[in-house]
Amino acid sequence: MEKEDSTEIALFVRTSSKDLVKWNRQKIVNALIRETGIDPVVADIVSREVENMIKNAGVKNITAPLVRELTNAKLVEYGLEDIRNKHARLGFPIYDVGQIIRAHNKENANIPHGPEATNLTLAEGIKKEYALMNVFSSDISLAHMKGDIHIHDLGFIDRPYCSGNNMAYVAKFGLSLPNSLSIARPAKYALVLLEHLIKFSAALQGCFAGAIGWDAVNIFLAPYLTGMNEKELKQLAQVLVYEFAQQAVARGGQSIFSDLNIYWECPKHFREVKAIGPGGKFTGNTYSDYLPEAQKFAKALFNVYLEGDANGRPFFFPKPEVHMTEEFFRTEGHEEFLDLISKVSAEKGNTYYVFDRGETAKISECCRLAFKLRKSDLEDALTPWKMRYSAMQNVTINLPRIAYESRNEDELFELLTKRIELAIRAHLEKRAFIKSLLDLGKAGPLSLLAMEKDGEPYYRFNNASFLIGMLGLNEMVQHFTGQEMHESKSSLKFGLKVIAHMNKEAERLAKKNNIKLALEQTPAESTAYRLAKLDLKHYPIHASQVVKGNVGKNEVYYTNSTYYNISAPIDPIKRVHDEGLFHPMIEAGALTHVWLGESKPLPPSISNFVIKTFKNTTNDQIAFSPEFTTCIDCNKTARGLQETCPFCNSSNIEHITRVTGFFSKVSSWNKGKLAELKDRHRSELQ
Amino acid sequence: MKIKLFWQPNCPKCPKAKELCDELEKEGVVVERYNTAERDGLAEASFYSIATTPVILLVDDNEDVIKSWQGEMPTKKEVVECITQMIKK
Ligand SMILES: [Zn+2]
Repeated sequence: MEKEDSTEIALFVRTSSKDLVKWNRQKIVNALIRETGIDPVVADIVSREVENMIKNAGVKNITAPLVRELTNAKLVEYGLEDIRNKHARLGFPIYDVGQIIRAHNKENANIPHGPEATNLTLAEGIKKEYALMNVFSSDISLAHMKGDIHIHDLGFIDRPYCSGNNMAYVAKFGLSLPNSLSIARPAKYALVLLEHLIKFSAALQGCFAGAIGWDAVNIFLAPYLTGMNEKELKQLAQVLVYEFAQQAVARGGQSIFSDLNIYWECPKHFREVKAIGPGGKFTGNTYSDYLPEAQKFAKALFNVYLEGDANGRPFFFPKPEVHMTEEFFRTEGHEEFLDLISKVSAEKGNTYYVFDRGETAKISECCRLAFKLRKSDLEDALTPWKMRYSAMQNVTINLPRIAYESRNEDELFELLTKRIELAIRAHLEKRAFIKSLLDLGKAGPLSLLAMEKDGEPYYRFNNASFLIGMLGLNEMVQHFTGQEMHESKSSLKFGLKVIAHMNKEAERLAKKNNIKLALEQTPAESTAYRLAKLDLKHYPIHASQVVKGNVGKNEVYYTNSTYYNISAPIDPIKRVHDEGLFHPMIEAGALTHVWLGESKPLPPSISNFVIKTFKNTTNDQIAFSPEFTTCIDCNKTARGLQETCPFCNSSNIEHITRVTGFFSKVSSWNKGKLAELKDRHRSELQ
Repeated sequence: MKIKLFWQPNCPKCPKAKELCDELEKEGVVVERYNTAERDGLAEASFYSIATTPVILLVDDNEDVIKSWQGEMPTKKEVVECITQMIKK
C-alpha cells in the first residue's frame, strides 16, 4: 500500500493551462458533475476505474486530455453515451494541426495562406464541432453531415451571416465602438467619413460570417463633397477602393468582403429625406439636392475600377453594384455613365448590374406577384441610419439527392418540403443561440451588435431574415426528367415548378413559424463540391450519371443553384433570359454570369446587352466576367488564362477570374471549382 | 392554339378576365387557368415572365406566345378575331 501511495505522490498531470498539478481523482468527479449533471455516485465509480487504469498501465506522461479520453471510454463502456457527448473534448489530431499549419486551406478562395489563416481554420474547426454537437439537434447535425442539407458557416456559429448597412449611421454617430480605445466624433470631412466607414466595416466583419454591404454609398457621401473638383473626387474614390482592397485584416487575413451599392439617380425613397452632412448634422437639404455630387463621385469611382491596381489587375474587393431602375434610364447623363460602367465590365469586369424593375409600376392597374421593398423598409428610409438588415443564416438544400430518393413527383415535392422544414428548424436553433449571445449585451461576444446608439441595438434581431438556398437544380431535373434544363421546355418547366414549390412553401412555413424566410442562390463555393462528393459516395449509381466534372479524378461538382449547365453552348442573352425566369422567385438575390474569358467586347455591346436584359428579361443581376493572367516576374497583366506570360514568357504566373461571385486567384480554388472552370463556356458577345 | 389565363385571389381585375375566358370556352376555345398564388400557377407564370395579374396569353401548339393581354382585358370579339386570323395564316 505504501508503495502505491508514493506512486500517487509522484503522479503529475499536465493540464491545459500548461502547468503540472498533482494527481487528484476528485477532479474527474467534479468535472463530470459540473459538465454533465451525472449522478455523483456513478461519477465516483467511473473516476476510480480511470485511476486504476492509469496506475495499472504505468502511463508516464499523463495529460488532462488523456484523462478525459479514458473517462469518456469508461462512459461508453457503461452505455452512458449522452453523458459522454456532454463530456467530449473538441479539437484536432496532432497530425492534422501540422498539416493545417503547412498546407493552404481551399474552402474559401478568398483566404490567403498564413498564420492568421491557419488560426482561422483551427478556430473554425472547433466551433464547427461545437455547433454540430451543441447548437443544433442531433438529427439536424446528422442531415448536414450526410449532405441532405448544408448549413453554411458552421465555423462562424457565433455570428450572424451577412449584413446590409447604411452610411448615415457612421455619419450621424461617428466611430465609437464598444471595447475600442479611442472614440471619434462624427466626421467633418469626406475623407474622414470614408475612413470611419472602412474601419467600421472591418469591425463588422468580425461579427458576421459573410458580406458587409453598404447601401447607396455615393448618395450618402454626397453632402460631404460640395465644392470638390474632379481630381479631389478621384483621390477620395481611390482611398475607398484601395483601403477596402488592400486591408488584409478581416478573418484569417482576408480582405473585407464588401459590397458598395451605387445609384445614378437619387432613389425615390431617399429623395425627400433630410441629408446628414459634416459633423453628423442635418444640412438643411435633402439627398436629392446633392445628386450632382453623388453622380460625380460615382464616375470617379468607376474610373478607379477602370484603371485597376498598380499592375492593371482588377480589384477583388469592394464589389460595386449599380442599380438599374426605370428612373435610371430617365435620368440625365445615364448614357454616359452606362458607357463608363460598361467599359469597366469590358476591361476589368467589376461592375454588377442590379435590376430593380417595377418600383414605379402602377400598382392600381395590376397586382404584382412579389414586392421587393416592404412597407416597413420604406418607413425606415426616413431615418436612413436605421436601415440595417441582416440574414442570420443560410441553409442549402441538396436538390439532386431528393430526386434520387423519390419514386414519383408527389414523393419528390413531399421530401422537398421536409428538407425545407429541417432547414427552418436549423434556423430557429441558430436564432436561439445568437439571441443568447446578444442577450449578454455589452459584456458579451457580440457587444458591437448589441450597442445602442439610436434607441435599439445595432443588430435589429427581429428584422433578421433567414435564407434557404438550393444546389444542383439542373441535376435534380436531369435525374427526374432525363433532360437538363436547357435541353427542353418541359424540363425547364419542371425546374420552375421546383423553385415555385420552394417559394410557396417558404412563404407558408415562414408564417407558421413566425420568421422571415427568403430563397437565395447559394454561394456554392465549397458546397457544390462537397455535396457532389457525398452523393457519389451514398448514391453512386444515380449521382455518377448527372454529376458534372471528372468522376475518375474526383474533380466533381453540382451546377450552382438554379443555373443552366455551365458548359452548355448557349447564347448569352438566352442564358440571361432563361436563368432570369427563376429570379423573381428568389427574393434574396440571384445572378447570371456572362463568362467572357479572353474576349473583350466593345463597351457599346455591353451597354446594349444590359439594356436588353433590363427591358426583355426578369433577370435580377448580371456581371461580365473576364479572365486574366498576371505575371509575378514582370508584373504585367494579360487577358485570358495563359500558360506563360505573353510579355516575358515566364511561367511564374497567377490566373485570376471570378469564382462564385467575386474575383480570386485560381491557384486557391478547390478541385470542384477547378473542374467547373475547365467546363466554363465563354461568350464573345457580339 | 389555346388560351392561358393567369389570375390570383383578391385581384380586382381578375374576375372580369375569368368571365371573358368562360365565354371563350363556350365558343369552343381551349382555356387553361393558372392561379399564380399557387405553385403550379406561379411556375407557369414564371415561364412566361409574368409579374402581374390578370394576364391572358394566346399560345400556339408549341406553347409559344402569339399574343398577350395584360391588365386591360380585350373583348371577346377581339380574341376571337385574333384566333381566326391565326388559323387563316
Ligand atoms: Zn511576364
